[in-house]
Parts: sequence; structure tokens; C-alpha cells
Amino acid sequence: MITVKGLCKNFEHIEALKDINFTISRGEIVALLGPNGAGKTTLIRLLTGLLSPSEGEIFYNDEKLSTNRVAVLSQIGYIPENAPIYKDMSTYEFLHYTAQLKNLSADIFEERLKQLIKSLELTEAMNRQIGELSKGFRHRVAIAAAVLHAPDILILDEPSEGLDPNQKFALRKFIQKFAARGLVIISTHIMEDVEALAGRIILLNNGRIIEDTTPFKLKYKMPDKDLSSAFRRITSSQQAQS
Amino acid sequence: MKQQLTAVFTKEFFAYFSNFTAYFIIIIYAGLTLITTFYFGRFFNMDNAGLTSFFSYQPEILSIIIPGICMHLWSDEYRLGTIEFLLTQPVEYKVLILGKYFASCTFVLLLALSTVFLPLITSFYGSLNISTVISGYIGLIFVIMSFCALSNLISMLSTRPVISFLAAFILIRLLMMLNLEGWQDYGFTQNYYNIISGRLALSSIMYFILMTLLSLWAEQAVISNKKTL
Repeated sequence: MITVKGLCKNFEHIEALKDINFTISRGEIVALLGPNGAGKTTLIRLLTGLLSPSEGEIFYNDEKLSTNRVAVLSQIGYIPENAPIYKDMSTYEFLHYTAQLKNLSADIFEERLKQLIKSLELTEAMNRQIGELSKGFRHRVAIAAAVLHAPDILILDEPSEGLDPNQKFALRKFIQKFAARGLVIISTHIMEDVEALAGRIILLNNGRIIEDTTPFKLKYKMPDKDLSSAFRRITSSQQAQS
Repeated sequence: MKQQLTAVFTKEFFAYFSNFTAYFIIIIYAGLTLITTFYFGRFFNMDNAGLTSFFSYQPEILSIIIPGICMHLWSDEYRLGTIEFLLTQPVEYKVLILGKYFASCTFVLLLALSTVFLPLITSFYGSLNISTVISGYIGLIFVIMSFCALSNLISMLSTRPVISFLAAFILIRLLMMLNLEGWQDYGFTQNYYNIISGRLALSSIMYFILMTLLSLWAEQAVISNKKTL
């Protein structure tokens, strides 16, 4: 479970996030939605400990991120936007390195690796340099690295950016399977992903949560019952007000 | 923690050999060492029982070599975005800092170790002052430790390896030139010559150890500060 209490983030004179509060429970797939500059990436970076909040706290299963960074990160799998990984390493070397950083024993690593090679269809990529792999394969390698330690929480920043329809479908299947035993947070502005995956939407605009609801309820707020137009109308009316 | 430290160390150390970096640096180091020792140091014209010609020029050479070895360590992580991967792993920052630091130190120490042929050859042709040579190597180890720590710190402050190299080189050169009237005891040159001439004063040893520890501590502070930006 993730609990966010009174989270604020300021960059010098800019308030990137203001008074963010929410709780996400096991089994949920939550989409962080918002236009560019809404604060999605800042929130993701705060949730993964890459940034420290100016105010507020983040709890993972009652453990404070600010004081137990390492313990909390061992429960999280994070895939940043564009999945940056070491291109000069082979897939096996990279996953082995990741396993060592995550303090996995050799036995557990080999066992997890077998499962991930099968579920993410990585056999072909194992001995190839990451720099030589296609974007889709690189993405799968990044997913394997993120879930190598069997985390409870998966955080993805713009996960389907640049993937072809088949790869998007495979990714969604993987996320749905993961959510059966953990929780998933996806930062995106691709409505197709939201509709296919999310059971809940946290809509951000100008650094504030303006909606915390289900895709169904958000859709039916608008006469045309379309998620994209709901998103456009809510965020543009907010921008006009501000 | 040991496994994580070994992982970071191994990755960074062998990365030098994955392209031509290591071989290029070895050639440059060997070339500069031979030129300074035998040509500028007038090796055959001086009393070299303590290998003064060799040890006197080593800080000059290392002020070029070490920034080159360390420039990629953190800069590349920021430039390529892999810093997000690294800092979201369940690893203490100090493990990442030490792993990279030890990798660069080990590489330079191996370079320094490759020069043992000099005292060996000298001992065949004349009498060698073994205690001075040992002191010289101890001095060299301290220089390597402190220059690597400084260069690692600078690499963390820039996203461009070339800028890291230049900034670390300038910083080290300024440190070496710091020899103000009345402050010589706190200067690099005085402390280095104290050690290589066999005067292993505690203050000289502390000078290098403190410089190393302060730089490593500053790295930890930089990572923490980047989080609060």
C-alpha cells in the first residue's frame, strides 16, 4: 500500500506539486494523468526517492520513504521514461548486475531469470549487447530488471511510448498479471493505455490533483462519454481558471 | 552490501577494458613516465638511488591521467539517464560512491604498479635506497587516493565528461600550485615531498587522507542535494 500525505514540491519559486494526498492499495492499477507540466514526472520521481519532497511524506506499507529509502526501494520496481539502461552491456550482464545491486543470491537470480526469459520472451536477447537491441526488446529488458526482485509495487513512467501495437499489447498483459499480486502506478497521457489498464485515475493539473476517480466515472461526466474529451475539457477548463 | 560494492566495482573496473580507454591511458601514462623520468628528470645524470627523477614528476602526470580515468564515472550516468536506474536500486549511496571510487583507484594503482620495473632495473646497475623507494610509492598511493576522490567528485557535478576532465585537471593543478608564503605546510607539494623523501609525518599523511575523505563525503552531499533541487 502507498500512502501520500500532504506532498508538496517546490523548485526555487515554482510550485511543482501542491498538497498531494492519496492512498493506493494492493491490486490497483492507477493511472497518473495530466497534460505536460502537470507534475506527473515530479510525482513519480518523489515516489521513487529520486527527489525529496519540500513538504509531506510518502509511506510504503507504513515505512517512510524519507527514512528507509533502501528498504522501501527493495519493494519497488521502477521503469523510467525511455527505459535508460547500459547499452554497452549484454542483456545477461545487465540483469546480473541488477540482481547484485538488488542483493539477490545467485540461486534466486537464476530462478527469476528463467521465469522472466519465458514470460518476456527474452531468449534471443540474452547474449546480445543492449545497444544492438530493438526498442521493444530494450523495453522488455528494462521490465525484467525492474521486476527481478519480485517487488510488490511497479511504477512506470510513459511505458508504451514508442512501442508498436504488439509490444503495447504484451506490456499491458504483463502489467495486468503483475497487478494481480501487487499494485501498479502508470504515468501516461495515452488514453488507450488508461482505458485498457487502469481501474483508477489520478488527474493532475498545475501540480494539484483535480480528479481522483475511475475511468468509467470520468468518461460519463461528459456528454460524449469519451475519456480523451473528458481529459481535454477538465484540464483546459482548469487552465482557464488558473 | 559487500555484493553490491563488488558489483559496482567490477562493472566500472572492467568498463575501462571494454573499449580502448584502458589501453590508450596505459600508453599515455607509460609514455609520459618514460619521458619525464629519463629526459626531463635526467635519470642517468642524477643520483637516483631513491628514484627522485621518477617520483618528482608523478603528480604532474597523474593530474592529467586521473581526471581522464574518472571523467565518465558519474557524468555518463547523468548524460545517458542511467542515473535514474542506479539511484532507484535498493543500494546505499555510499556503496555506489565507494564502488566507483575503488574501481578508478585500482586502475591507477595498477598503472603505478607497472612502474616497478624502474627500481628493479636500477638495483641491477647501482645501489638502490629501498626505504626511499618504498616511501616514494607510499606517497604515490596517497596522491592516487586523493586525486581519484577529487576527480570522482567533479565527475558527479557535470553531465559532460570533457567538462569533468577539464574541471578536475584545473582543480588538481591549482591544488598543486597552492604554495603560499607561511602556508607551505598545508600545500600539496610540501606534503608530497615530505612523504617521498622518507619523512612520513602524520600531518602529511592526514593531509591526503582528509582530502580523500572530504571529497567522498562531498559526493554523498551532492547526491542528497540533487534530490532537494
